[in-house]
Amino acid sequence: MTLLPATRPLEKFSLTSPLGIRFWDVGANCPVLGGLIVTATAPHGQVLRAVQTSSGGYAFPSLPNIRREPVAPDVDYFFAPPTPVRFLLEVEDPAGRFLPAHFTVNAPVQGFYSLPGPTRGWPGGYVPLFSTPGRVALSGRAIIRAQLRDATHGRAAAWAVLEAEVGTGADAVRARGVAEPGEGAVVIFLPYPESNDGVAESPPHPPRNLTDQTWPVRLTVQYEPDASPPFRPGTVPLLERVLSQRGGTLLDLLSPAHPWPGAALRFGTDLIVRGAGSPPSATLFVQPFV
Amino acid sequence: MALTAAIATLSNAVVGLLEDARPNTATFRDVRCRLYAPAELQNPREALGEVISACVYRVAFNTSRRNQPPRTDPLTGQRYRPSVPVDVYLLVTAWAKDPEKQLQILGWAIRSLENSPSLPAGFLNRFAGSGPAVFNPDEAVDLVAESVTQQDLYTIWQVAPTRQQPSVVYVARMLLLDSDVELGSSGVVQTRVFDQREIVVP
Repeated sequence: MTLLPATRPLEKFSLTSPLGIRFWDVGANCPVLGGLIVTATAPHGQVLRAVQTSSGGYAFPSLPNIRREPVAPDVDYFFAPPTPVRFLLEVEDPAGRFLPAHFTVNAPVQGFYSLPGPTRGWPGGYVPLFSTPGRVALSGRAIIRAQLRDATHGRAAAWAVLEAEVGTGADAVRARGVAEPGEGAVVIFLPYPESNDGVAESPPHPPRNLTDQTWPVRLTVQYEPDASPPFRPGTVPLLERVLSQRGGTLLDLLSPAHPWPGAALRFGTDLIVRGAGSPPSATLFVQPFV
Repeated sequence: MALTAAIATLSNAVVGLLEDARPNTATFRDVRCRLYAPAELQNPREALGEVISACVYRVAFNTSRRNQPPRTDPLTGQRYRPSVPVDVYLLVTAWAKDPEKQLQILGWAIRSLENSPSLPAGFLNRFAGSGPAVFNPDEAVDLVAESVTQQDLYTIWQVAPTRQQPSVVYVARMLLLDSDVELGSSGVVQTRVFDQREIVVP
């Protein structure tokens, strides 16, 4: 039998990672498990890249001007944390699944970072990432596409947040998408609502073929032009600003102004939301909040 | 990610899908859609009627990913034993006294299944009975047509060697049967403690 040798303490110290971030795939409604490039830019310009952890998060083991040790041995790091430093976080997806996201963080952060404000469609402790219009369709999910244009300036309504409510009552499904900056194209992925089998409907009708199932779609938009600067490559507004835009109005005709009347989603068919005007006929206009 | 009733619910959903898709025309008015046990292929219910049957003749582990990680609840971080991925093989068979009608029924069934190759949870859970939802709202099951060799088809029909009918095979791929056995969760590590010691030499 081997006994562990006797030891005497030399030194005991601890190191804390000042920042960890997890991302939520708003389209697939699940955590993002990898494939992102996450960088933090310090106030003086130094750029650091996050390392991916085995749990799917992204961690910065160290950040400039933030100590990693507690103020004293055996004292919890966050009992007396260092003075917060503001970093600009930038997220890129080389695979093209997600729109780029920029947001600011005051580090250090205990636990995973959460965006300020209410979570709408993603759980706390995650930062939401929105799908690009060119993302490969997700199996078994409904798809709503639109192209949004600023009704005032005529340019693409970049970074407008489009929210869809599909179905009615308690079974309604809600999901969001963000317009990409180039053309204002937006895609929303969402699960199909419960299918109607006619049992609870009045008047009763014969069973519906699954491919004939339809659900009403209501769309709302958050859009403010100052959160949507004219598109320049590399210009990405802060995510917290994008998500806190005030509500706008969707128009399918500019003159005379005519609100978008709604549409129906059919099972198995992408819903492409179009405006009534032309050209281009596929464009929906967004009257920004004033 | 589904409860253990997923195989039964999926099988009923395939039958329900065909039932809902049945055209209200003279050809199809009397067609019944049924879930058969393999033994029923020899002595089918409604043997003289017009039936489209779905029979689960094989359930196999999907080995395309053997090392499934533990399932993690993204909201709570709770980990569970890995889900078991299975493929469910369904033999879809048309029955009718008139061979022409039998082939019409089979053609219609193939077209109907191909029209809905992905069954969403909102549809599947309709066939889960009065219990809890079997499939996660974000889940969907893909139905894939499988080309079966004549030899394999012959083997499948050995349960009913004298009743072989024109059939097709569909595979419902990657049903994930979830476990509710919790694994220990140590939480996220943000701070590492280094306790350095030296060995005392006597």
